[in-house]
Amino acid sequence: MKDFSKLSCRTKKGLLFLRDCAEIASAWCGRCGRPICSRHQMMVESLLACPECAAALEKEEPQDSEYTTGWEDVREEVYDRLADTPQAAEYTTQERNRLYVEFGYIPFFYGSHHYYSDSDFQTFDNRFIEHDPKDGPILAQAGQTAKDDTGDELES
Amino acid sequence: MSGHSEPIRQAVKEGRIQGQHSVNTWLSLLGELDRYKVERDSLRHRCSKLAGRALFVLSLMGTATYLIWLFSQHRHIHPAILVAAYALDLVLAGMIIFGTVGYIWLRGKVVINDFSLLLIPALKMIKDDLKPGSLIKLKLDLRGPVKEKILRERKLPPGDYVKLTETIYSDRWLEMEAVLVKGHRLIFRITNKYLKYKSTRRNPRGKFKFKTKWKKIVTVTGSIRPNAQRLQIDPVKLQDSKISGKTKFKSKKGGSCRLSRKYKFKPNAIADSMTVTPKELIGLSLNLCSFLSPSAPGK
Repeated sequence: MKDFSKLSCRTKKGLLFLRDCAEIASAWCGRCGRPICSRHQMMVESLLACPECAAALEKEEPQDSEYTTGWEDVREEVYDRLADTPQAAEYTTQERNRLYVEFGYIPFFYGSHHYYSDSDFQTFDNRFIEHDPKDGPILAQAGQTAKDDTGDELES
Repeated sequence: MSGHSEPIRQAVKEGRIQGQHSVNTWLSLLGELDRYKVERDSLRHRCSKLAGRALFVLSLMGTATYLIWLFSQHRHIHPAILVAAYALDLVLAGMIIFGTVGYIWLRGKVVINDFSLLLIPALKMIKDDLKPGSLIKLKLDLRGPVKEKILRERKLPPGDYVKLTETIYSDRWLEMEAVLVKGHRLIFRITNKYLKYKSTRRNPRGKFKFKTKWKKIVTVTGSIRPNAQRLQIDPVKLQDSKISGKTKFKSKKGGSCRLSRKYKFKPNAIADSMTVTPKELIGLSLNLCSFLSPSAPGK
């Protein structure tokens, strides 16, 4: 039995600025392997997944009509009913990804993990990570080229 | 009304709500206000329905009463029948008055629907971007186009009409300031400009006919004031930005920037559903954030 007591959930929350969820984890995502809390656990095709992987898996399949009703319906019909459930987290993740594509936004990430997804590919590469001595975590944005101490761009 | 909290009663009474609360408190307050609005709208609808139905029955019953009265002039009928007919007419007339007065009274208590269509979903979406424990400064004016908000009223050249009047209302119904993670600040201002055209014309029979048309122009202004130690406006990104021509950009002193866009709605723009979608508001926020880049180290 794995000990989750010292692990925090690494699901990303937020829209403009992404952050770690930071709740105590209770399982691992079966797809990307990140620790996830009970609120962010989803069952997709008998696989325990994080909302981001669930959203990615849903994208590969024909979508449920409930999730394709458009933003306007978020108000009561979908969001309130699903509030604070894993489905809401998945729905939010799907919406978030759609918005990033539509508005061409590459989010900032204040977090500490290295789990790859379409919207935070910078976490793959340590060069894009700026360590903050006070807060510990990271401030970076994808698409920016890291520079070394002399101000020259680092090679890929 | 008895089931609602004090701030909501006050908000409905004054048509305004403002203060500094956490996002959860605001969502709970605005949710309650939304429920109140739905209740009121349903009650108003029921009042109009009651008055309409009572009017229909009274028109039938009135005819019946008149016939009974005519019949009683020539033949003897039991007086109780006549009294009952009169009483029923009176009850129906009372129902019409009650329904009409109730409808007019409730119409005066209407709050605009924009906050529930726009603000509540937008707050829910940016909830996780807010600094934990921070308060949102919110100022809402929910009265819609009322007399106090008239900006200008003038008579236009009538053309084919007998009279044409234009009234312009300027309604800044939302002012919001939120502290995002790491101390960045997001500010929104939404102004609804209502254009009311009241025309009078004369039909071929000589009767005067009145018609009112509304147009609504919604101006959304969003500003971001980044925490200078972490983020700054990137001039390169500004040049590369793909914001549409309808959106106006302004860079301000102190490292903040502002985007504003106008949306036009017509006809029947006074309808409740005519407003900017939360997606537009969030899109504006994303556009604003896309101008930012990490500050130079040591700044």
